[in-house]
Amino acid sequence: MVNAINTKNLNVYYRDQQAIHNISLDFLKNKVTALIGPSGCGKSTFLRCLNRMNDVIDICRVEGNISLNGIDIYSKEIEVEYLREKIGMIFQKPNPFPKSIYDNVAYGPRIHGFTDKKEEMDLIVETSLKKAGLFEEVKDRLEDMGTSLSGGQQQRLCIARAIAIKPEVILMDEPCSALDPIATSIIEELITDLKKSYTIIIVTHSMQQAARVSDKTAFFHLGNLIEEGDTSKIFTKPDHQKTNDYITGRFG
Amino acid sequence: MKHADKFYETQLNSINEKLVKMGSLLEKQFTSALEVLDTRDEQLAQKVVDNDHEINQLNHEISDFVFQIIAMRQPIADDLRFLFCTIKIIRDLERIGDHITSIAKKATRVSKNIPSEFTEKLLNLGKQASMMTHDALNCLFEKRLSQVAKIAKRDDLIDELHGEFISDVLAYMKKHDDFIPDSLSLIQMSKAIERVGDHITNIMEEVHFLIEGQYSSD
Repeated sequence: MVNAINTKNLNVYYRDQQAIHNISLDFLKNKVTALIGPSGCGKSTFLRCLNRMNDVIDICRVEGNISLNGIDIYSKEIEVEYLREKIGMIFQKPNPFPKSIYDNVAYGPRIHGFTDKKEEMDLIVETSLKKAGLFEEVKDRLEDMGTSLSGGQQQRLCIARAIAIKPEVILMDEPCSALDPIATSIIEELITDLKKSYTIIIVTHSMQQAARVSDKTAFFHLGNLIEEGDTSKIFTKPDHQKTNDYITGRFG
Repeated sequence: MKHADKFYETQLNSINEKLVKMGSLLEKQFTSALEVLDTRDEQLAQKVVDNDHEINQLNHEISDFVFQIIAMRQPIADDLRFLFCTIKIIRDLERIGDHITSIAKKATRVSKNIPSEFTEKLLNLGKQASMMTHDALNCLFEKRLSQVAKIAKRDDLIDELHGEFISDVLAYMKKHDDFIPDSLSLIQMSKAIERVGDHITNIMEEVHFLIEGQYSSD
């Protein structure tokens, strides 16, 4: 088992307020890890650290070590653009660009200078849309606006956009919270499919979703990592009472 | 800690209460059945038979309720273990109820003239199983892991006493032809008690799972 991402002694502060307390957590390559915990537990803050999304927040300070394939992602030699190429992110609400379906997917490969040949770009777009399970639904209207798609399709378009730049890791912050059950199940099926090629880290408030899609689960509470382990174990016999109380709905 | 959803909390408590009720009813039935064995009281035997319907009824009620909760709530962790084990435990309790009823019925058919040592031995065997049932139910409701293996182990004594009893009855039967019908009833009652021990052992396995999240390797 190889780790894609290692985090060691991670501490995050918003001014004097500590949001993450000394968390060390590793993410296995080609596995889905779910981060769960009540609102404000630090799981999203933690997720955002993994591709340096917190860099743009002036009051946020990150201490500790995060490495991708053994390389420190906070080192000065690492460009954020390079990092974002390696670690894609999907947000709670689908956020396609106000551009065509085609351009949404082609945008990343273009700015990263993957190719300037149309045929090659066509292939990247088609492959990415196929991997995101969207191609068949949109192949005849690639010039339509991305925003004209349904919520579930928009989210899959965002996934296609993320994978078009060939990332190694995909971060997902509650990717299905704005979707209906059918669109949710399509995304969940997609997640299971995508893990063959990518390492996936997903923040979710749905215990059932975490149980369905993840191999590993980590439970956060008040900025601390309480417990992490195999999802099958966490959801049947967690080691910690706090984990048990949270996942069974016993948190006040 | 209680569930934030009070209705869910009430539903789970209600299942537990029904399980307690089923267990306590079963204990009463067992005491009555052994009294029938001692006194051959036919009215009491009929009461045991009638009351068994209530145990069967509880079995169905609990099953339906658990089924509903699984569908509506998708329980996990200790809630799931509790419901999963409850479904299995009530099946054993219901079967124990059937064995107890069978003991009460057969006891009224046994002649009062049989050697008293057989009644005494069977009563002793019954008391062992009845105490085992009592302790097993306490262990279930109080989730006492340290007691699980000890209680399950007591099935060995029941098996041993049952084996001895059968040998004694067979030896006597060989010498007394007219004792054969009574012997068959005695053997069937002893077998029913022995089966109770087996069901209690099953329940102890479930209690281990309930507490530990895995079955005992023993």
